[in-house]
Amino acid sequence: MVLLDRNTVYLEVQEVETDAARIKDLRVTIGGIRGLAPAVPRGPMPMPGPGTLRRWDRKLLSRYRPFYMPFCELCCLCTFGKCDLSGGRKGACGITMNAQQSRIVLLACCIGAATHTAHAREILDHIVSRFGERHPLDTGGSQIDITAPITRLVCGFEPQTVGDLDRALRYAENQITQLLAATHTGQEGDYLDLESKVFHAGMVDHLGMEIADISQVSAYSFPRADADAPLVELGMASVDTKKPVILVVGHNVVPSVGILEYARENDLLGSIEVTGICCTSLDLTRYSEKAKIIGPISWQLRYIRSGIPSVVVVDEQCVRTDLPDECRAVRAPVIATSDKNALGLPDRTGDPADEIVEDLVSGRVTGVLLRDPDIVGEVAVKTANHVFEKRKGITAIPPGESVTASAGECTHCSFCQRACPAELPLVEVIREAGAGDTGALASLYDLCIGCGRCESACPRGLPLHSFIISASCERIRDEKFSIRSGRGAISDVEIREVGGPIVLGEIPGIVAFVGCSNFPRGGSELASMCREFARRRFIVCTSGCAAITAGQYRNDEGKTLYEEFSGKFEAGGVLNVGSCVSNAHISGAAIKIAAIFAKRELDGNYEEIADYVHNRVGAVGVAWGAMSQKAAAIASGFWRLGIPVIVGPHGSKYRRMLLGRADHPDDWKVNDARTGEEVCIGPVPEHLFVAAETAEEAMVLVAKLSMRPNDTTRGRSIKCTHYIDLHRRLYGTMPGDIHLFIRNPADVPLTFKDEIWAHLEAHGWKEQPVPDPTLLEPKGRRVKGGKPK
Amino acid sequence: MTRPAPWQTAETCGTRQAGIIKGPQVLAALLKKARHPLMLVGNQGSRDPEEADEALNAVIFLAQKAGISLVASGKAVLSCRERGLSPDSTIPATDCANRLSDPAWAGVDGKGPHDLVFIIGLPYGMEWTLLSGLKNGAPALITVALDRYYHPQASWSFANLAHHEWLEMISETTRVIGR
Ligand code: SF4
Ligand code: SF4
Ligand code: SF4
Repeated sequence: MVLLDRNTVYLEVQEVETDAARIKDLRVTIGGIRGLAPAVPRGPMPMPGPGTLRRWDRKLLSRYRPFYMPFCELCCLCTFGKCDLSGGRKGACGITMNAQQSRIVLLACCIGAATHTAHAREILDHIVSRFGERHPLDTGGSQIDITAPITRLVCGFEPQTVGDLDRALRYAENQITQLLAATHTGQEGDYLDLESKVFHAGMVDHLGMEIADISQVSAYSFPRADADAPLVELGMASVDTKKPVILVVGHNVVPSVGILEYARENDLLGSIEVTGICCTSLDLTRYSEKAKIIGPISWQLRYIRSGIPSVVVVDEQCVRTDLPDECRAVRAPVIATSDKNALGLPDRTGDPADEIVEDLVSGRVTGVLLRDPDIVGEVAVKTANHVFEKRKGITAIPPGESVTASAGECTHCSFCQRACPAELPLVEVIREAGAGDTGALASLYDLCIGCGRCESACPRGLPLHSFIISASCERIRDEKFSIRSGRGAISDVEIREVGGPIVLGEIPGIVAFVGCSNFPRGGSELASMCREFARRRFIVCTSGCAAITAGQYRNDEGKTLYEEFSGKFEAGGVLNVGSCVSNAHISGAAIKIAAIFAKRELDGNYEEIADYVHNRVGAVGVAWGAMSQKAAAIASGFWRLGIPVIVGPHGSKYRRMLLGRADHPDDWKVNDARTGEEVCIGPVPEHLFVAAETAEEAMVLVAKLSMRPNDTTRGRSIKCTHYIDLHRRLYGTMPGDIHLFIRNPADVPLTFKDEIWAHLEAHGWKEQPVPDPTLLEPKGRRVKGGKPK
Repeated sequence: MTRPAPWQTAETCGTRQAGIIKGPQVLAALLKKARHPLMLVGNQGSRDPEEADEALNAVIFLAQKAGISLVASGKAVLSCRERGLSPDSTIPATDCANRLSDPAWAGVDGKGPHDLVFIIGLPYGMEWTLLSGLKNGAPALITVALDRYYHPQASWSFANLAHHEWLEMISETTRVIGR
């Protein structure tokens, strides 16, 4: 067998006998990383191109049709424009409004996928250079056989070492380039083909995330599928401000590891504080329990302005671009560490560390770019130590008296309020503050997403966000919580234990709370949702800023979610998998259920595995505060696996939803793999991408979207119980569509039996079979030993 | 004529912006012409609870008087029921907007497609995007942003009124159609 990809030739000979010799199991690889001979890609569709899975995508898209909500009706992407695409007009290139919207969605997903993939490239190259290309992949020791489920599913080969991941990463890089090319003027113009490419970008995004996370887990000995990963400190009050404090912001942990390593080697770990915001902090606490998490991305302004951080180190992604200005205001030196985010700072990588430190401490430069993580470590630690005494007492948060005085200058023009994405009643609270009562300002602390738009809008230059923080100093003094550090992958053993109950529907669902902190009404709603579903015995996964936010609220006994619930992948568990790139372990778990529990062939077998996941694994993603393009790409990776995603109201600005029509029975047909017949299965799951207006709506949707055609009657009855119970509690009524989810009498939950039967009769309900569901042709299913489940 | 700026900064759309509802006659005329109007009521976002309460009372009264079918999204159903009104549906606003963009939809009450929709009480950005979806996906549907804030993506919208001005306008509309 000979296979070619763009850079590599693989030759595999299973057995050949000639006069001269007998050759068995010979594998030759030409190209790729020197000295490695990774296995030949296998499966029906290894390394699919942008069009390879088009058939599968179209199946999903014919059921979950895009609903476009143009965020902008004009296009200005080329010099033919601006083109007005509203009212059925076409652009000068011929493009329609729908295609333009999906084109922008594709662009967003390409940005997201490129960001994770470039992040993976930086981490992988660094790890290969430090640990060698033969460094083994290890994400869970003997607990894990399938180390890289997404790589195997998409690329069709099993990586054993970090060096093996290079081929998968080159494939991802290549795909993103092709997808980006599809958005050029005069390229793809069909909205459904563009949507198919959106799915492809999402799939590639998950591959990039997996490569980034499994390489860092393997190299840095992060918790490996560890349900008992240590509880670490979270919150501004967890910082010992008597010590110099370093703040790291972003997503790429490598420079931050340099900081901890330098401090460790110089016996300084006990005398400095290393704190972080966003995913770098999550990954840093996976590396060392000594590091502390301050909060999600919305904590950048409040923490820097507090003056607590002595030095600020930024890497990449979701870092405020005005951070150098903010740091200058509190005289905190800035160290940029990534070529992708140099912030206009002078590159001092080659200079002696002590010279750089001297320049930063003296204020000759306010920040530097350092592209070597070891130098970052030395410079950050030394600078923090030197500036600590000099900076004492510096803060940009005004004291209470000054807030009252400044608020008196407000003209009540309402520009701030009109700029506030959270629609906070700023005019009213400033009026009250001006009259001496800052209580209303403090009440906004939890709701404010720290964007600073109000301040930019204010013609009087009033720092409203700082006013809110100032008024909330008591609250901040109490901001000290526990979060379980990111556990990484889900082990094969856990999958074996829960695979059956999930597929049969007896565990009502896996719900993943992921994404950023652009919350409509603060983070407490997210924490309440997590608690609600953990108590309902769903498996609750968290990651990224959502994982941090979930840890910022306590129950009545003073415990955070991570103290209240187990970290195991089991009914009622609350698992922080880790940073953004750890999201790959959530999709990876769904894939592993198909591969391990159901014994479906994994390698290069995307379509069949996705079909399994979509029809049988009751997983739902909730990105309640989704903001970024990365979040869009993460969501689209779930969509291609047929996993529904719910976003908060701001998520409608992603400009298109993928919505099913419960009132179109013909949309809900599957093939029954046992009989080959087409069967109606009801609207399960009803939507693939939907924005919910309120947390209550999101909760009802989670319960509903956890249903799958394959649920056993016991499983469906359990899922309907949750759906009805939530609907009754939050909406005060029985769901009006419950008849669509009852297939036969055994599905009817006993608790609501009489009401449901009355409803079924009123809706002319008829019994339906429970099929062995597939959207594919039933024949040709690939099974690895034993009977498929 | 010059249009008001959208209530939330930068939420500008394209070349066509909502007509301004200058008086109760505009709403009354729209209702008179409509064959099957619908009202989609959201949860009032995070705005002043007292105003939200008054607003909901006013629009529910209007819906009842004018015989408008009602969808309560989010948990707005609770508020409607407290006021003695059972909404025709509790489907999410997003789902409702998607169905409205289908000219063959049997409507929220099964009585045929809707030709006029009032939307009120969603978070501003969400209402804005849904209105945009309808503007572009359901060109024959007349959309009215019933909040007091200007929504350029609707067919008709109020022009950033003060709450008391808005309340007066809705109450007057109810009076006009009740005559
Ligand atoms: S890409 Fe097409 S729609 Fe956009 S500006 Fe150019 S011609 Fe107009
Ligand atoms: S910083 Fe807070 S108050 Fe200011 S605009 Fe952003 S969310 Fe609103
Ligand atoms: S923008 Fe400034 S002056 Fe205007 S209302 Fe807000 S705080 Fe007052």
